[in-house]
Amino acid sequence: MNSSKAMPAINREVFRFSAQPRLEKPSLVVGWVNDTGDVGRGVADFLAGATGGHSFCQIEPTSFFAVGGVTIESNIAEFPQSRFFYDERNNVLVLRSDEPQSSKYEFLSAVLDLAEHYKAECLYLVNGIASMIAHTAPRRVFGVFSDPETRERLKWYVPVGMSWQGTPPTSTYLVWLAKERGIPAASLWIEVPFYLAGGPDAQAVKTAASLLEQIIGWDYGVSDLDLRVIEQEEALAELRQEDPEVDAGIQALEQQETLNSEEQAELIEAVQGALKRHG
Amino acid sequence: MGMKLYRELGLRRPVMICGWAGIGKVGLVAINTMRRLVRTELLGEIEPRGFFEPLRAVIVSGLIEDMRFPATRFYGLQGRATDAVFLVGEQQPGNPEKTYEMAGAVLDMAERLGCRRIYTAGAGVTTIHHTAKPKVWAVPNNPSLIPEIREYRNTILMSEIGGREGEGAITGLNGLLLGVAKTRDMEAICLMGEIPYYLQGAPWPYPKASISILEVLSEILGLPVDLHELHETAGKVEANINEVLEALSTAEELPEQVREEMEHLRYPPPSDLGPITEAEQADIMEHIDELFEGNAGHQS
Repeated sequence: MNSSKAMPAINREVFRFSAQPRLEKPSLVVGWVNDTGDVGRGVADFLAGATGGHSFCQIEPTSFFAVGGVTIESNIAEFPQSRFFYDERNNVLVLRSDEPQSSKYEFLSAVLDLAEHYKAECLYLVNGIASMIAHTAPRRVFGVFSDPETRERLKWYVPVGMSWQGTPPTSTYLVWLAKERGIPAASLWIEVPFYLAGGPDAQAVKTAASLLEQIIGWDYGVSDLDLRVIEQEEALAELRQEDPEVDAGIQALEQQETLNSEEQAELIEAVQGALKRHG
Repeated sequence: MGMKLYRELGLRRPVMICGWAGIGKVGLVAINTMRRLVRTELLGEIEPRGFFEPLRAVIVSGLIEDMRFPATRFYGLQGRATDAVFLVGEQQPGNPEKTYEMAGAVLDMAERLGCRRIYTAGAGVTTIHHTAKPKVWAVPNNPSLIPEIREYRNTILMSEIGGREGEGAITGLNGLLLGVAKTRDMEAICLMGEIPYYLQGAPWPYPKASISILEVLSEILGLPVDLHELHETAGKVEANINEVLEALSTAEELPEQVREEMEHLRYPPPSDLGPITEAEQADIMEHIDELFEGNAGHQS
């Protein structure tokens, strides 16, 4: 590692470096904090931990976030962060970040500047997408790709390309900007049962991490995530035993039935409440 | 962030006329209508990235086919009397720094095209009744323009508006452009069509104010425009407003004071309105907004 190497392609007003890793065309994994089912955060946290927690660079928040104070969540003061981690052995870069509140174009362009600086081979964006499925169902993954070649390269892992239109989420905007700069990018959307969308969905996180492991070929193992999946499944099984209405709702979903909005709201409230109590 | 100039048309010292989305879409509707009616040609646009977030993505089988941003486009006209550049902005930037940057970009384009004067168009919020013909408020960035403005039809200066004594503020690009133009020694005039205060948050456009602006611009440019379609739309909007006021006046939970004010709004000529206190205005606005939220489907 060489911490004093000049970095002409990077705007130093935007980034704060503490080191400069040596990477050979790394993969860049991006996870946004507070996405559906905490999938992006879960994967980014897992990778940050697995890579040894080496944060080497941060994006300065002043241009992109409200920095007049902190928010308090679950008794803890929170402040927006955009931190890059790395692992030279597995040739991986990770961005764990809040989504920018303003100047989104400049923020995403900065991420792509860093990707270009390290000659990133591909960007992988990890997201959750709420779905009318039971948590016992396998999680499908939908892809949004920067170009046909990337879609073709990943089709064995992500066979279903998303078809959709609407106001683009940050990940889709980043893929679009990457496409314009000729940087291969894939946004992976992992199904999250709607009643787990408001909190962490361990199964979706594990699905995403396992998929990236296959694509990128790192050697971290996902046993930590397995443990969380078991804990989540146990908590939900317990809830189904305790609450016949919750069980009936989940059973209906398992039989591919749909729930009306009132039933959905009840299921969300019961499950989120139980998971919070379970800790 | 940059500009694209597709063609120049060889315009001779044109005026630039700008309309952005804003209150009642007054400026946007006015300028977009005029540029359609006089058959302009697309000249160029301001690159939206950096100013705006994308409005819509179209993804097909995993590939992003289209990413639509709010457009800020320039159209050119070679007129008999005057050449003109029309700027149609679908959205204004979301923060003051970007708005300032946008104003600079617009004036860069104006200078590049040799524009001699800038007009901006927007809404002037006042106590006018919706059945009355809106006046046009004009604010120049240079005192030498005042004699000319006094000749415009149905137009008043800020000093002629009761209680204002020539003072006021113009928010957003309609105002900022005047200021930035002043720093570049460029003439600029903002034309604001009056809109009733109780409609400033309504979900539909207010074409009556746009018509008043267009009548003024039409004379300035020597460009007669057929406004019958806009008059028809204005009639439909007025009918919608009457319907909403009718429904609001019979709403059970309405405070008596507000109900009385609604009765005034439904029937009297504008001269009968009388003064409205700030508290009354706030109360009326609060209830009108609630009703509009429930009547969004009435938009013309």
